Amino acid sequence: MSGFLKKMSDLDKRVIFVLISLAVIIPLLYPLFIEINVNPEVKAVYDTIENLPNGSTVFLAMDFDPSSKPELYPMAEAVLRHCFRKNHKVIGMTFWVTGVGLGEKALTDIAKEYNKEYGTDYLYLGWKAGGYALVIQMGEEGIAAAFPVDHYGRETASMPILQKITHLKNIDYLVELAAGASIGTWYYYGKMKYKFKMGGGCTGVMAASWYNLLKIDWINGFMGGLRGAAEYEKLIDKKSKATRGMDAQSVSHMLIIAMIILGNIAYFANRAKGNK
Amino acid sequence: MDSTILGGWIAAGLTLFMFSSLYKDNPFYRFGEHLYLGLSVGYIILKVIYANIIGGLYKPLFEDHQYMLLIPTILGLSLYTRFFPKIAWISRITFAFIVGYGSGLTIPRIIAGGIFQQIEKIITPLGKTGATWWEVFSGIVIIIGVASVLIYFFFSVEHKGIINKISRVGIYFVMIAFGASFGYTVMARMSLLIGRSYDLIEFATPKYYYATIVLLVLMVLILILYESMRKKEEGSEANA
Repeated sequence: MSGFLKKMSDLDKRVIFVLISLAVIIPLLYPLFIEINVNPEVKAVYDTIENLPNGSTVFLAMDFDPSSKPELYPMAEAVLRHCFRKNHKVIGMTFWVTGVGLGEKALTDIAKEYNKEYGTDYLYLGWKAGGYALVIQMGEEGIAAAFPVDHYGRETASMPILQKITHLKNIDYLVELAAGASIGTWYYYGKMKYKFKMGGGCTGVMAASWYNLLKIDWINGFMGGLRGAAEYEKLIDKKSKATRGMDAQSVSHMLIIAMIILGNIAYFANRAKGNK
Repeated sequence: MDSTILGGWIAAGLTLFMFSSLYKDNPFYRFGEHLYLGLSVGYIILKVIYANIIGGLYKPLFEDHQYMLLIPTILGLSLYTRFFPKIAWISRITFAFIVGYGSGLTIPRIIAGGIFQQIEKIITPLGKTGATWWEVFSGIVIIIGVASVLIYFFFSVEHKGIINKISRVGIYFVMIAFGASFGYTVMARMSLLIGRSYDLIEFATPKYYYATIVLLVLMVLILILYESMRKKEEGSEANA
């Protein structure tokens, strides 16, 4: 036993890497279908989109790039599926220059699934520098003034989707999918002044701090990390990458917990032995 | 070859290159790292030139004759006078403008939307009519948490007696918060691994001509060869 504990405390980190890899890959190959429970904060985002009248406009800020794709991209897909299923119109954009392609792919792929028409049912503004100045411009001068041309270089002012929804105050719900601090930009310079409803999704790293934003009413709900995305997939009844990833997530977490416990037992046992 | 399949091979290869650093530093990893850095910087520069300089300045100025844009252009260009010590003072005008409007816009919003709103939401559950017992309890926990953590970070008074006891409570709150954040961080990192593993599994299918498997085998063989050559070289150097 003491030999095992000694080995545990001197374990080569590469052994841990291999174990974690197996804990991730095996459940991806052979899904376990572990039940996912939906948290109220995720349900709140779903309910808001679900209860909007058909044809409402949802503004989707996809402020992430490939480094957080596994967590936020499934959220974007799930929210878009929900919006298009409810015949809501979607305006997409990003503050992350390296995330432009991901936003475009999510919008065009899901729009294709639901036969939506570009310019009428959805619009992709793409990326533009400016941060908060851009939000203020969309609120004061209008979306078309801030983005005279869309991601593809087409003029936005004449697009049917922007005829009724001209300014930020006209949008029915803003969903912010954030890998950074852009939620502050949308809140301070957008929601505070133009009073639109706001919800969102964030990476797991940020999720704990977003409960605070929920508490102070910056947002009415949010999806935290891959789990949040999986919960949303469950709500829209379209199980996709996030749901499949949750099996791997659960198994790897169990392995990490087991290793933490074993590592601590080994540490204290070795320390006790050293004291004798 | 279909561009999707080619993309799959490149993605699988580069992912394996990056993962190879988990074993030890090697030329595959260094190549992948440098390529990633170079590509992302090049992409950002191009995107900024096209969107900001061509789309946001050149076209509106020369095609739409929006001459007002000359003002921010001059202000922006004046920032580069920092590189010429004799005229570097010119850049201060732009900095003054940036700091001035930035502070004017940001400070009131952060105070109102960040600080005041947080304080209000901490206090209201206790005074709210019809608050449930759970809301009142949560409110009390939050107040104790906020106060004790603030006292823990208050270094103007020596942490002795009652102050020490309260700051100890603050430490527990901080540890719980760190624990929650760390738990979520582990989940986030595992999600990234899941995302890449998911793609690697997909690229290992016949649709992609088993890209992951082929590249993994090739990489391992090359790394074994590289290691043996390196060891041989080190051995001959030691003998010399």
